[in-house]
Amino acid sequence: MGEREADLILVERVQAGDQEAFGLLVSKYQRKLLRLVMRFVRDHAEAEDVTQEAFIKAYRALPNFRGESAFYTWLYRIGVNAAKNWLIANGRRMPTVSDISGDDAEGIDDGGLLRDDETPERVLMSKQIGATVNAAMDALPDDLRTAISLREIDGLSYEEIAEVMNCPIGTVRSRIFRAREAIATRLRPLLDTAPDQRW
Amino acid sequence: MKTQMQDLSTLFDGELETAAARRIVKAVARDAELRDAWQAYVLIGEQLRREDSAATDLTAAVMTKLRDEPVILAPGNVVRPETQRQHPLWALAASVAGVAVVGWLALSSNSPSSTMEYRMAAVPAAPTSVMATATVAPATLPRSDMREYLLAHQIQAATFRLGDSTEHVRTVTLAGSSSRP
Repeated sequence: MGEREADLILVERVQAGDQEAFGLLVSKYQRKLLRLVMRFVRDHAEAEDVTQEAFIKAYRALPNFRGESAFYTWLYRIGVNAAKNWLIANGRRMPTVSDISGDDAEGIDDGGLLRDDETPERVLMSKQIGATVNAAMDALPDDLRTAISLREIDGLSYEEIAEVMNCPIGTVRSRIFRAREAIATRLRPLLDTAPDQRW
Repeated sequence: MKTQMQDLSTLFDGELETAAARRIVKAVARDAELRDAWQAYVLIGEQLRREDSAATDLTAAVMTKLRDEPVILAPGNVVRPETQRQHPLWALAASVAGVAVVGWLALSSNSPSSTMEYRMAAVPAAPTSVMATATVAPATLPRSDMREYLLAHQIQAATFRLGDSTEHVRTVTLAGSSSRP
């Protein structure tokens, strides 16, 4: 199974009536989609609204999604259309910089655009999260740090990591999980997921 | 719980086998801790890749809006890639199996030991010009010069298994004979 297949399992679950499974997809792709929308809609608050709207549209269209393309490619097309519709509705000019389409959404770099519109609180929060993750990474034993770096930064599969680290795949799986849990333990007080913030 | 968390982490990387993935996704619906863990895993990955906007989380807002949406019920719409990939293999296997069955039938029907051939070979061995039934005692008896032949025939015929065709087989008598041995 790859990431695309994992997404399809979530989609299948949503199609079977489980809304919470859609929450996992929102959680996973929200910031990527927001960065994409920010290319069109420069105002951060407006971009958040458009992104939310794109997710709602995706949910409504999900019965017709058959998995011919990856979920995120499909979602990004919806995001681009939602952003373009917003521009038309608000009488704004379409961005001309390399005319972004859903097909090349994967390669999009946020290019610092998001930072232009962020509030000081948001910037501070982002910095704190970044610092906490970095500190937690530094505190990890070497084998855990290497495993999660190879996965998250270099994008290697478990099989490839097992080869690089010369250990069984089960050990890779366990190391990555333990690394994530160690970092998440430090992050949780910062995220402070209040019951009303949960989904 | 730890096993579920580890499965969630593996699913997040797209490395969990399908059955376990389905189980853990089902569990997410009723477990807020698993959902929190997922959000943390997403955030950790983004931070490690130096992706910004970590402070933004739209999930709760989107999910609140979705509460007013009708629940989707369209199971089975997704055509999973591995299912698509399996089709040619299954088709090939079915073709091979079909050829094997047809070939086996063809060979076995051509074989001299086949039941059909066996019957065909056995029946002409019995003189067709003489007829009687297995259940009816012969009304006439053979001439003395034929007795030896008929005796040998009956002994040999008794060693063959003729299956369903036995109802059509009759013992042999020789018409015109009037005296018992």
